[in-house]
Amino acid sequence: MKKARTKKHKNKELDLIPVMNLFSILVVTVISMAQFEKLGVLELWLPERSMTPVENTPPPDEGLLNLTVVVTDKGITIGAAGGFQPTTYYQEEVEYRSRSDQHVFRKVYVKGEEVKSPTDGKVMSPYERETIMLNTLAKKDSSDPGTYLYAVTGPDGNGLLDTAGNWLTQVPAVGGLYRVVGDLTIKHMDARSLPFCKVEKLSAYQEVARTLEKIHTLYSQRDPLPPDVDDVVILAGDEVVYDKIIQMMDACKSAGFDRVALSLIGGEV
Amino acid sequence: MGKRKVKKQEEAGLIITSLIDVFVIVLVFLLRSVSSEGNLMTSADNLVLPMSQRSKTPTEVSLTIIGDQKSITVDDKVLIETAAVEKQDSLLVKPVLDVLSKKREEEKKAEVLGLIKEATGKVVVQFDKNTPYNIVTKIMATCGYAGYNNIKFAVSKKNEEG
Repeated sequence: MKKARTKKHKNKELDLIPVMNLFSILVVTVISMAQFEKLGVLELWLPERSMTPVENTPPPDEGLLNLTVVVTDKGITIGAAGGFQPTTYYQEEVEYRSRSDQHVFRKVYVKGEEVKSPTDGKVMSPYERETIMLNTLAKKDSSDPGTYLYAVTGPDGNGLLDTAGNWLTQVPAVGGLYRVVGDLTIKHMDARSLPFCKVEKLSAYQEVARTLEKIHTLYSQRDPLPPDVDDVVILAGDEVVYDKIIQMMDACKSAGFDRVALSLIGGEV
Repeated sequence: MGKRKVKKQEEAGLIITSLIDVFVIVLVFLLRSVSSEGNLMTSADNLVLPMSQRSKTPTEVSLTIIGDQKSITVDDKVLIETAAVEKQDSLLVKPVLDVLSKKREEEKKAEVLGLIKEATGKVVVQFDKNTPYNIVTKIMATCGYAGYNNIKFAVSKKNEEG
């Protein structure tokens, strides 16, 4: 009897080299198309300038809200047709990134003071400021040094409010109720977000946004509705940094004021 | 003399499977950051844009003014040094005004000729986040004077998902 021939079956692997080629090309193409920094635009509202001479301008409408946010180097004040709100005082803390050695350090801003890098002693330029934080201070008046206010911040860095609209000072337990400025829906704390919540110094932008939200809610309920219910003018001095203006615009928009105009203290833009 | 034994050498195959896994992960990560709309706006090299949570996605290409630490640039043309703008007393920046007025006139002409639907006078301003407000207001005033009343600030989107 003949022996049955047994063919040796070799383990044949799939030829993956063409797949690799395809992937290499795809990765390079996608890298060239990828957008790592997402850009957006913030719309600015410019009030229309009437062509009529100053003498003929009609008297100001008394039903207008005329909401103004004044930004100075010590505090932010909200003013409206009825008067001024108490000033939200802040202390400016700046995070610098040295261009020479990429060293990052924080310093409390003092007007006119030269800031030197702790590693190489180089004087920092204003353009080396990475983040400007405005920490809210509880003050009785401008001479009082004040104390920091603290609030719980959520995973996205926004302050958390309780159901009554006050800042939470302790991280709520799982299932605890909270909300953020700009969103009236009450949320329940979930176990996934909890580890990212922490108690931090309260940002003055957040505090101003909370006050503005209250004002917006109050004026939205008025009858008749003021024509400028969604308008706000940000008034700032010459030396204020552009970043503060943008953060303030963000705060106004989150409070429901969609039409934000800018103005200069002592002038008009 | 005995015959030399010749060992059959087997071909050493490269194990590419794990490499393919890496490539798939990289590809998926990159595909997440590709926008289907394409880039309507690119950020300038020498500046850091401020972060914003409430910004909108740009929908059209507009005239861009860039103000960095060194100079003011309109449509890739360097016009004046930033320090000179900061020092000047006048609200209007002459070299910028000249270029903007010319561009605005061209835009209006294009509207008359039917090349564009509407001469809306839109301009996007990119400033470094540490620029003093003094410079920002001067450039804004110049834009308004030249007829560009629709001013938008370019920002970097914060906490954007997807």
